[in-house]
Amino acid sequence: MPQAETLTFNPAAEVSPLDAAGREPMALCSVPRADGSAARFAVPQRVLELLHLFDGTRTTPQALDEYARAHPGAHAREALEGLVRDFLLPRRLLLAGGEAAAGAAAAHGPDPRGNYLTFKVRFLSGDRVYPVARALGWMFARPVFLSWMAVVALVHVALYTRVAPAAGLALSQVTGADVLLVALLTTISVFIHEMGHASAAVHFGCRRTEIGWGLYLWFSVFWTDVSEAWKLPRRQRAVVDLAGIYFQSVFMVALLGAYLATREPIWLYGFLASDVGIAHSLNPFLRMDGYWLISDLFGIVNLRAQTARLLRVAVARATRVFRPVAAPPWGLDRRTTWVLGVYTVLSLGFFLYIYEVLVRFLVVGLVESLPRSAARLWAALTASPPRAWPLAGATVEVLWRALLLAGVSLFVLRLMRSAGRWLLAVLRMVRAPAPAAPLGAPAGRVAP
Amino acid sequence: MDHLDEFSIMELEDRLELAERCNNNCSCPAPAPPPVKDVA
Repeated sequence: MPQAETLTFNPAAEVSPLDAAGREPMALCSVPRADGSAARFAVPQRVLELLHLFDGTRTTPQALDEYARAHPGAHAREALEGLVRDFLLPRRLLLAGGEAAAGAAAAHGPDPRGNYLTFKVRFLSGDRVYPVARALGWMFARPVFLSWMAVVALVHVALYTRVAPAAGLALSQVTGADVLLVALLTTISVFIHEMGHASAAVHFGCRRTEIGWGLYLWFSVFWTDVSEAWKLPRRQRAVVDLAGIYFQSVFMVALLGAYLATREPIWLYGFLASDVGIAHSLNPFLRMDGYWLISDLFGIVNLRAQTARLLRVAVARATRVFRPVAAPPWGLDRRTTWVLGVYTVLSLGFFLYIYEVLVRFLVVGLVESLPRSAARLWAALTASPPRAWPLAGATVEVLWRALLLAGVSLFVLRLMRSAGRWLLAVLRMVRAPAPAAPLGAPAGRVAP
Repeated sequence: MDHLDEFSIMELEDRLELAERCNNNCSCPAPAPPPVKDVA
């Protein structure tokens, strides 16, 4: 970076308050990307002050001098230069003079590190989702929401205490046709779930909400992009997180109505499968509704990354016993750090358990059963005369097993890669020399 | 030490609200699906 160059705070960046827990107020800086999306940054107030010093009239050393005068001793000069060189410039929060003049303000393409879906296909653009989502905004009026929640609670009590026990459901009687129909019903149910997220986001003023399909770990998922919701207060973000389940419950009550009208168990299976899906989506350790809910209720942005960071800091501090290590200052307050600590420990336990389950049951079971499923498919393919249902059933069975196996293998690979990166980061911290100047007092030290 | 850790500045992750598309058989880490009976 040429030190005397005049850098400019990206004029296309939008700044708004970010509702997050921390020792100092945070701002949300959104830098538009060429594809219409945006790169969003959680920026502490003091870094925002620094960005505003890059107004096109100062060179980089002048801006850093000015900042150092306003915050004497807060950061080493080298650290400030590193921040500009390694983050603010590459992420286009700062632009070189020529770029700003040429209007090349857009951020680079999507950061692949942030993409936790293995595959991601959009099937409804923001333009298509918006009008539907907007028309459903009345669902978020308080009286509507509260009375519906009461209905859903009553329906669940009635279902699990009376309707389901009386239905005499027997899984051994499930047919191939039933499997496909329940899959269809849950697919509709999950699509309605996604419309719920989109509707809540639009209700609170977001414009760009897209819906698509993807592969997350070993799950086939629908997704709704509500990244714009970062600009909302935490409480509204939490409503966006829960709105999927809220909308899904409407479809489930309709399923129950269909069962009571027809006494066909398929509707009941659809209801039960949706309930299992809801319980699953509340799991806070996978990036599903429960994850975002914890993140928003406690104001911990980038919950997964903060978990990894807390572990890094904890390891670095523990290693200080053997050699001097500068643990970085910590931006979260004491209470939030405790919450994060508990979450981190539980997450570790969860992932160790999942890893064990995956290796012991899924991989071994799947690898063993795939040839049998393939043989059944071959038998169905070569049967004379051909029979549609066994063929469809065998095809679905082979497909889901193969998809599951591919997803699990990718998950294990990604897990190993992440663990490798994390280990490297810890090693870098442990080897780093102590900083030349005292670290910023306001940021404080980590409360383990 | 990472300079970014010192400044607590982060690129926010994309908020993709995920929901499992099909939780029939293929969701939980269960060893096998229930037995399927042919209708034909």
